[in-house]
Amino acid sequence: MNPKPQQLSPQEWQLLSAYLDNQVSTAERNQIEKQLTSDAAYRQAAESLRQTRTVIRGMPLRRVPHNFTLTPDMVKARRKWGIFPALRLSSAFAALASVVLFALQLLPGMMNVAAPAAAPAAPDAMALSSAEEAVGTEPPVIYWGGPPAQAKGMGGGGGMGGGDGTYPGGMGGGAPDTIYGIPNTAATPAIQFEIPQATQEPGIGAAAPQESMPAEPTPEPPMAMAPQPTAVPDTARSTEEMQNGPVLGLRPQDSGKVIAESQTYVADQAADDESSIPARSLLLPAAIGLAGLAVITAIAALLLNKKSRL
Amino acid sequence: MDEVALVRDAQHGDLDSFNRLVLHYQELAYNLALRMLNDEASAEDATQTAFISAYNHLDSFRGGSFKAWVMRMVTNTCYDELRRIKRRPTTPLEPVNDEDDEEIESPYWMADDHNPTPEQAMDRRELESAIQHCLTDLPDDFRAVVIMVDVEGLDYQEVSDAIGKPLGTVKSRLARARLKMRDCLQGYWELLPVNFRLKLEERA
Repeated sequence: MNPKPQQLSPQEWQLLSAYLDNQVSTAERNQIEKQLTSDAAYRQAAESLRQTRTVIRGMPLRRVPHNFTLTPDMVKARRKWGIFPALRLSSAFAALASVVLFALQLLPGMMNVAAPAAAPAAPDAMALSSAEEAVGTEPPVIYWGGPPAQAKGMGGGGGMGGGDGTYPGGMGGGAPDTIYGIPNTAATPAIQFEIPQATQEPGIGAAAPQESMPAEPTPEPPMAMAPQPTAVPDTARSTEEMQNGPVLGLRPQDSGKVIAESQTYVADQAADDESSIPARSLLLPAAIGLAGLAVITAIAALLLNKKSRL
Repeated sequence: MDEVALVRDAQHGDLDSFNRLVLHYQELAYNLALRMLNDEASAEDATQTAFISAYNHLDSFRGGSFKAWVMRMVTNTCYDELRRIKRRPTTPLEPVNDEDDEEIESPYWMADDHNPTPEQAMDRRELESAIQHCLTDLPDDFRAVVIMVDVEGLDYQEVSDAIGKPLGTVKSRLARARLKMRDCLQGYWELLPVNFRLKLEERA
């Protein structure tokens, strides 16, 4: 049995195979029979395929060793194992719901943590969150002219603005970072506003004035600085004070106003938190319960599956 | 046998009606499983499992050829079993198709032949073993098609329904399977029927 290799394409073999089973159209049949009469190689290929088919068809059918009829017990047993998919499905749903509830419970906490980090991007939020922090410790009061003991540690830092000389005094980085933590990028200031009396205006900050840029008269220069409520300078300050003391501070009325707003905000937030406590307190037991249900149904499904395979 | 009525009654829970269908198709189902799995015990299990599954999923039968639908159940069961075997291959304690094993009898197909001589019976058994060997070497998808068409005599449409593939796929798989079988059977030259050998010798 060593027929010559036939150079037929897979399509031609497929057509020949279907032709042997009478599964071709009339046009295909005419084309095949025409080629069979004219092409010896094609005829040989068809014959080898026909013989192979004949040999395979000679394979006898075995008698069944026993009848495969079903008994009621078989069907009943099979239906009993039918709860396996239901258990498996309920386990998956319970696990998914448990994860969702856990996530819902964690989500508000994550938002609270993320709030201070987002503060520098929004000036109002920055002021509020700064004040919020201050409520917990001490008021962020920064004094003009010689910082007392409470103002320790507020000096230093780089100047803010004045890089291009438009603002003579610059802004010393003497304030807490949460209030004046804006990078010293005078070319692209985050906030710009005009100081009504910019002439003779010293730099803002607890650093020594001599370390800032010299104060030169400049008519109404634009400047970049931190939010207004905590940075409004006292225009009635004397030259001596400007030369000797720190230049950053809060007026009592401004400070009180800011703190009052912050306290209001904190109080509102606390009220919101209190109102959500009952709902949130229900999430944890529900999540734990669903997780337990998922575990129980998964174990039951596993046991049933193992038992059904025995 | 009113197949449609039997199927309808079985769908309403009549087990006797379903069992009549089982008796009608069990030989085809068992032989498909046997040729697919090449193991009698596995074929019995697969056939029984397929009929139980068919009964439990009778609601999914939407008409058409019930034979093709049953064969689809058997084919899928065999695919599952083949996947399981590939995941956890086992080695039989005794070779099933050992040519030297003279004690293994095949009374099923021998009984079909009318008074064969011992030599004829031996030749047929060896030829069957050779064909089964070549079938086993085929990819699972090709094997299913060539068994259903050439061994069991299903038409293309029934095979298409059974494997859930279009007619073109059936034709393609069948042609490629036959070519592979032709190449494989060349190694069993002396086992082929005499008339088959003579024709090939004339062409050589």
